[in-house]
Amino acid sequence: MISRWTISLKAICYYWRTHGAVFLGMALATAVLTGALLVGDSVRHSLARIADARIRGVDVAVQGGDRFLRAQLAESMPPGVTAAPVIVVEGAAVEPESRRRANHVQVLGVDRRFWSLGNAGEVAEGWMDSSDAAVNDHLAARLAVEAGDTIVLRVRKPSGLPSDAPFASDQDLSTAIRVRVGQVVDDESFGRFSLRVNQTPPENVYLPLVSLQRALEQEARANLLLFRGASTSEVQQIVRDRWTLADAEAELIPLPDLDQAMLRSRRVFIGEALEAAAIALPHAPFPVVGYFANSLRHQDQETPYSIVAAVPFDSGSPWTALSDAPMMDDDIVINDWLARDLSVAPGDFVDLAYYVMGPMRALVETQQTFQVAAVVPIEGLSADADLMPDIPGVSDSENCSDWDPGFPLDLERIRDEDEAYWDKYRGTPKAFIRYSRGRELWENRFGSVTGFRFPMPEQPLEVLARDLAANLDPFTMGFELIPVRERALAGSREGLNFGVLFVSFSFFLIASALLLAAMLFRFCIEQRAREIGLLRAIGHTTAGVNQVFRREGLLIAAAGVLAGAPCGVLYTRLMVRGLATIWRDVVIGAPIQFHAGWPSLLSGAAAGFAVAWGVLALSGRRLARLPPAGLLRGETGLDAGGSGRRHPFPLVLAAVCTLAAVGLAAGALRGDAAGRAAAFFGVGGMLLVAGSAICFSLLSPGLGMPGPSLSRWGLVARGVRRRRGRSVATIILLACGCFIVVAVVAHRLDASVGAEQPTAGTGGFAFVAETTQPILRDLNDSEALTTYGIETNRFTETRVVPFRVREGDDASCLNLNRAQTPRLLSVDSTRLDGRFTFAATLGSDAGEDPWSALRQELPDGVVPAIADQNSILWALRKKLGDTLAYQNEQGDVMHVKLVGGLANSILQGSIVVDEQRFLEHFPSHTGYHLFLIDAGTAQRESVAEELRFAFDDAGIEVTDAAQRLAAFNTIQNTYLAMFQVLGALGVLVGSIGLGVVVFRNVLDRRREFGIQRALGYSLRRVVGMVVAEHTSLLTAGLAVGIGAAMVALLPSLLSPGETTPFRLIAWTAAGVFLNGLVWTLFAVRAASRGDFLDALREE
Amino acid sequence: MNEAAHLLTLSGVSKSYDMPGHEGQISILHDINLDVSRGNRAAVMGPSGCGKSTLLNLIGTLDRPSQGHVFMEGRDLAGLNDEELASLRNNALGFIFQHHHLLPQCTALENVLLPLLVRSRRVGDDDMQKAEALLDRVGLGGRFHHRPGQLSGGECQRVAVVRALINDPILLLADEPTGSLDGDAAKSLADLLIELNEKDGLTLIVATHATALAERMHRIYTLRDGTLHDFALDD
Repeated sequence: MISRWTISLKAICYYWRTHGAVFLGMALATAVLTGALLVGDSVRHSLARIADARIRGVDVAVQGGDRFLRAQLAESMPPGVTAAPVIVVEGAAVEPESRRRANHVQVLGVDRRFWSLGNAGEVAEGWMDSSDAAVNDHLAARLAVEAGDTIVLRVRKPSGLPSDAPFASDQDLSTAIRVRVGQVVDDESFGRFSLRVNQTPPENVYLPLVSLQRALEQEARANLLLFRGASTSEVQQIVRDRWTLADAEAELIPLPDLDQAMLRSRRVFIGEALEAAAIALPHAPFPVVGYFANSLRHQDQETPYSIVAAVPFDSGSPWTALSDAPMMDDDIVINDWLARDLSVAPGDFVDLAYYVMGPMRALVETQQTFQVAAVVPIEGLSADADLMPDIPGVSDSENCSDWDPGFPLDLERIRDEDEAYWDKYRGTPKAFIRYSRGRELWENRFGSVTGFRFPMPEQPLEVLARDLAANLDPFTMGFELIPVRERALAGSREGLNFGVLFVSFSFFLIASALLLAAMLFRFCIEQRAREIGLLRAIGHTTAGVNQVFRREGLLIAAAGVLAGAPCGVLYTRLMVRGLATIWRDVVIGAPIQFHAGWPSLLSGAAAGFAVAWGVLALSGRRLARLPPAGLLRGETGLDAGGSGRRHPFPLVLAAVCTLAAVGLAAGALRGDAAGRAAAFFGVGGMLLVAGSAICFSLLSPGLGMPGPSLSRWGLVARGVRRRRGRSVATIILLACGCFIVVAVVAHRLDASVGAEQPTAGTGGFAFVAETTQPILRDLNDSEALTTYGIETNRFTETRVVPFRVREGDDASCLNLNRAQTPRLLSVDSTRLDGRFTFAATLGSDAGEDPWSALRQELPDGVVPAIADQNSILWALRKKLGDTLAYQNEQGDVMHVKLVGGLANSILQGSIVVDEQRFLEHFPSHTGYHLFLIDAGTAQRESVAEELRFAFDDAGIEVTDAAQRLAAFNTIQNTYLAMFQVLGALGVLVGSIGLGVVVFRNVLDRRREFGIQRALGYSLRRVVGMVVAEHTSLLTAGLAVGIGAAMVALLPSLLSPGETTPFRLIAWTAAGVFLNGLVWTLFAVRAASRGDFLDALREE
Repeated sequence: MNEAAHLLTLSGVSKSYDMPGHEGQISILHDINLDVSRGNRAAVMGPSGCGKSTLLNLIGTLDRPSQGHVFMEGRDLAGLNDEELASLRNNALGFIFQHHHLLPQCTALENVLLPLLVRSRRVGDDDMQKAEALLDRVGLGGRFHHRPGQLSGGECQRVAVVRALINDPILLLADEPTGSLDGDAAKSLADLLIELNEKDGLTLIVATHATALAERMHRIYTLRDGTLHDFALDD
């Protein structure tokens, strides 16, 4: 059967050499395109595997952090639902003999149910029979331990009273636990468990739940519940249904002597949610506040260290009996013991002095003056010792001299009578003020009330407790409901799209392959000019002729795709190998395994086919439009001909691009370093276009050469101009490749340059310190330093900026997952004024001080935030003005709006908000975990040493800020290196293109060279002229490409201290030149086939 | 003159080309006037480079005149677009070139059938039989599946003739058809062309510098200095 398709097939077979090369070009382009998409599949699949290893069977979690609930909540689940109670705390682990240490270790107290959730049946089986710990393989490797070894853990001891709260102690915040390693568990055995959407494996220690409960004094309690087989709404209901006061860390205590029941909290101050729940009850409870007063004074008489209670004196309150007259805000009722001690009577004035806790446990003594309204005997309501809150270090002391609270106390002031009072009355308040006044003086972010008093109910207290619990929503009390599986899947699915990334990195390689194939196809068509003329002569229209070649192109593209797509698998394997070796920095902690999905394979093939066919279809269009008569004579219109007039467009284009480049450069010089590098890359790109346009113009056929035109060099120049299109295509291909490979160097980041500058990515800070345990005091305060045992004379030039940290997902370039809940930092933003450089800010409110944007008030309570611009763009895939949502302690959504982006900073990976705004949403957050430290040059090392020594137990890690930045820069530099390698491959293909052009040119002109030989030119001279022609193309390509690249590198070249890799650039240029030269010589040799004289003898 | 009465009429046709390195244009043909009646055979003679091929290209719509008009069956070809001209070439004209321009990748039969693939995607059995009959007629029966590389120059030229005839043209244009053939092959081809004209009534215009072929035409024209001169033997 004879058809259009069979004729096309025959043409392909006949011109198999050329079409074979076109096929190879198509196959290469498809292989690279498909392979790049499969890299994306592999990364996504690997991240999904890691996510699965992290969470296994866990669907939902309820996390309490510092808050603990009954482990019993995890029992008796509905059918199909499994739950496991867990204690999770952060700590440090040390191998005692070698002193190898790991900070930020996740210490988990688990039982068999946990291992069952993780499908780790083997581990679950033997778990309860031993008190040994299990460590995951990552921690085992870090500490170099194995089963049978011993490690020491130092973990934070949970306290009911937050350490930042009034009366809280900042001593003994951690406890040491010595454990024997029973087994090492790998990822398959749930060793990688973590709720954070990170790829970096956590370092985990697993203890039997009971052991950890005991060590932390949290018997029968847990701060994390894991669920399988239930949705978030189902878990929410399960937890709410089982919620009791005990889970809210509160209790109802009967006070039969007073005919009251007392509601109090382990956290001393009753939080907003519990307060609201109590008030909502119909029982009309009375709020009370008990506070520790430093002194009560009248004239020169003083009573030290007493409890003062703020109680309601309103109508209906039992305390109205304490005073005959209505109590005013400045009135005080005192007991007779105090009246005698101070020698006061009603109407006298008493000064009440007390501590108020400021930021960083800064205690401020405040004094208020009250007028004695009444003196009451110590009996009944005025003998209520339960009004004293549970003050650690005080309440459970036998004697006053044993007091050891978390605030300064001068035991010398305690007299015998005070001891006697304590012996007899314990914490019975010595004075009473109005509740509203007390609330006003003593309310803090942890609560305003230390208790509620209910009239003793007729029903059992359990009923009241149940009613109270029913009014409580655990998810407004600091417990967070986490859709674990949903977040894990979203994180891996929405992570950095490596498929698109590799396609863009490989773009030049794909373009080179396609351009090479298109050039070859075009050559083939040119070779068949007479055939085209014939087709036109027998009645094909221009479109019909184009269709003929489109059919051939279709078949070749299809064949190329069919061969290339499977080869893409090889490309993928090569790239995955690269990610595991030379480029492993970009995938830290995430071993990438090859995975090929049909969708990517098919879409890569389809895209490859579409692009390939499109390129081929466009290749020969112009020829078909030429007059058939000329085509029949073999004229293609490609030889240098025409009117001899130069078209102005190329020079106009060159001028426009040059002017634009100058303008961009001028603007860039006024900007910051990061912007300058990017802008100059654009300048270089424009000069690349300008240079190419100038080359195009210089190759104009009508352009006269200086001097006698008929000279050897004149012949060389004419030869170059003969096929202008091919010559310019070769120059552009080489120029683009060189530009990409060399100019990318400009974007390599060097953290060490200018690191001490406040505007650098380090913020000018010397160190970044992170602790596992919170640091509560201000490290800029010499008293605090002394408390921590730090020599203050070593810190005279040191400034510390502390950050509160709410742990979350890493939103830096170190995490390939998309952070779902990024780590949140809060800081007193005034301490950062003038630090760092902003890549972008939103609006003009910030003025000259971008950090003040954190303090602005936004509508609807939205919290402004600043983050590293790389984190915003790449990790979060957001932009300034976008918002993030966090669940706060009250169970509400905290909307955080990005208002500023830092340029390549050490704060990458986190979102920064103002401290005050942070505490409004997370009031119970305690202490600081991250510190930026500014140290004078002379004190640098000693500061670091002091901090490491002082906070060793707190699990401190002190890192050089420049090194921290360098770690982030390594990622970006690695991406650039990937780009360079693939760009270099593109240059290689471009060089092959040059060889093809040479081969084709020589073949076309064999007769011409034969005539030269017949006229007496030696073979060496003829070959020399050909080589000179094409070496000039090579040189032009290199000159344009590297010249433009050097302009792109100008900021680097001109910056003092910056090291431009001239050697690398020189080697690159030499390599490209030599490579091109080799291909040129090879092509000349292949095409000459003898001495050219035989071309004259061919018919 | 009435263009409709003639199959082909050229009226005031001129052709010039832009040449690189020259200002202005090079005039090849100047004010050509020509009438060819249906069924006639005519020769255009002249020395090499005088414009014979150019004239045939203008008649065959392979090129457009710089000035003047070409009428075919009374229709001015200047008003036709690319598709209409292509259709005209496919349906009404046949070309024979000095170099046969057979596609080297196709067999003799496939080369003959190429014009038919302009109109339809595949060739039917009827067309196949027609092509084989034509090839047979020119003495190439049994050589259907031989490629040009396997045929002699004369055989290739005969394949080219059959290709030009496959769509039953009304006008056959032959540009130096015997130019690359030896004596016997040239005579054989010339006989074939005359036979096509006399037996099939095919109008024939031949550009040639071979006097032996020109003498067998009804009319001979000569091209000198770009102008056409009539040298009629009989009307």
